[in-house]
Amino acid sequence: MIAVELARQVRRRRTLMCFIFLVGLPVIAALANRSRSPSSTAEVGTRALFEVSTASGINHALAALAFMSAFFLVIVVSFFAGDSVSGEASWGTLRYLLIRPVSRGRLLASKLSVVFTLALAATLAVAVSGLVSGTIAFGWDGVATPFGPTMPVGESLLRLAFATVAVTWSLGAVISFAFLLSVVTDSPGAAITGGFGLMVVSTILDGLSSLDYLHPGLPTHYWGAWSRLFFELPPGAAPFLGGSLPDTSLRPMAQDAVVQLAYAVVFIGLAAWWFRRKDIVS
Amino acid sequence: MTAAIEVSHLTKRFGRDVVAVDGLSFTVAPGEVCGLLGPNGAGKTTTVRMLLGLVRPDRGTTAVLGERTGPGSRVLARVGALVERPAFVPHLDGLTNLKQWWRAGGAAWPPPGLDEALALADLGPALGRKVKGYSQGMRQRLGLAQALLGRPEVVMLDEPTNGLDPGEVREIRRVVRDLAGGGTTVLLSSHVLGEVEQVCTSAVVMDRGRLVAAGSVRDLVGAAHSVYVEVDDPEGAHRVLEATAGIEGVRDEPPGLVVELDGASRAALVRALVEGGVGVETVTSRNRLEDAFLGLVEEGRE
Repeated sequence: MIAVELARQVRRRRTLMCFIFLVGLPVIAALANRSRSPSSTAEVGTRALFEVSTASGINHALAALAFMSAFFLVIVVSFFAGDSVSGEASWGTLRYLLIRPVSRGRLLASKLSVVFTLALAATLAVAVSGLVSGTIAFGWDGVATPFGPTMPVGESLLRLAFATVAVTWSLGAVISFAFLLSVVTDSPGAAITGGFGLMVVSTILDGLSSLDYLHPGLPTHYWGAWSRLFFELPPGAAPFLGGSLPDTSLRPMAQDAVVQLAYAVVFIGLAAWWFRRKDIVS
Repeated sequence: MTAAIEVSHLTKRFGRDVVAVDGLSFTVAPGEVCGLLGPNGAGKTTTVRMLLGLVRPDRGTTAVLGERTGPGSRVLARVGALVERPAFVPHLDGLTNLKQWWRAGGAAWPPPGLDEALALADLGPALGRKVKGYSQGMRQRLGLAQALLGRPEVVMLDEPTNGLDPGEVREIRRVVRDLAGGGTTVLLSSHVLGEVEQVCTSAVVMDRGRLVAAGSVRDLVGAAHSVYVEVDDPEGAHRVLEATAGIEGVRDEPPGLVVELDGASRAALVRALVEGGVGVETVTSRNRLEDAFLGLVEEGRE
């Protein structure tokens, strides 16, 4: 069933279009930044990664992950997840799969695994495209950390791989929310918009400082926390001008992982509960 | 012998007000071709969906080949179905659609009966083209082929001739007869009476979710057959038929006559007329399932 589902999705023109953009945008960014040289910053976060994006191919890959995951990847994964079940319902093929018979639990599980596989593949496409185009444009070297020494190449690649997984993971709430809507409605458009809408609403709430008690629970609050993998301070670093040492701990990454997992469990649990009881009238 | 299809005390509401199916019970014996007949909105599709485990009944049970059916029941692997309209993944070709559907159930490709099914679909090179470009008739034939993959023991066809041209309708009729000839049990839902009359051995008539009548088509039609004839000399025909045995009555229905037969065959009727010097232009049956159906539905509504 997973193989069948994967073949169905991969052969769609829209999946192909998504991947063309996922691969193409980092290449365009590499071309655009060719003449820029790295600058330094005192900030911790994804924006600081952009300052050093031209230092090496791996740096460019990180910058690509940072700018793609803020917006475009969210659209792409909402697309994959939101269309997953509702697309089948709108084609009318859902009823035929279920009377094959494929059990509802198994159908949902294979759909969900394909959605997460595609989401990981999408993030990976960004990272690889960034790495290849960046290496051609800026050369092959370890990561230049924004205010630390250059990391060894092996360590850099390992952390890039980890960052790729973390970026996918941070989309967990969006993916599972779009998937839930995909099960509840028979309209792919509504489900896709819903997934994307969750990101928009969460970002707005995250910007309202009067709601700061809510922030740690928002699905987008810790987005970009993975960039801390590349902010190691050199041993014996001195405080920046007029301040203390910046906080580079990986704690927010762990918090993000937990928040995403919590949302995923709730949304996917609801989706499974709903789908088990659903009357298939599409 | 266990029934091939058994529906008992089935009730389904959608929302608060809509009762789609209301206390419906019927059985279909193995090898029978049963027509599920009723006007649009009678609850036929909902009944088929409940039989296939797509819709959960509020009350009552459904069983196929002696096993209760519900979501994902294993017995459904022995059932082929066309529910409402055929549906395929539009960006895949016809054959890939069949292959994927078959494999989704965990079975190995090719299934038994593939060649027959493909011959039936008769799509030729179009089988390798995306379903997106198929006509309604091509989809219907591919859907029928899909329903017959793996030689199912029970076949449920929900409005299988919707949107087809007369040639394609005839083809579907032939397929259903072939299935019946091979011992397959067929449940065919339709609002077209002629369809049921021509291919079914039994029928279940429903209206507004309820059972109106069930039984063999012969019983439902009733023993007394009426025949509508057009002749060149109506008066002569009256005279001749009054003197013929096995005729219960003759009444005018311009431009022809309706003759109620009571023992006389249609051939005997024609022979009597011709021998009596009356030219016969057309002879068609009347008061068959259509009359029965309309009568039954009206009775049920009173």
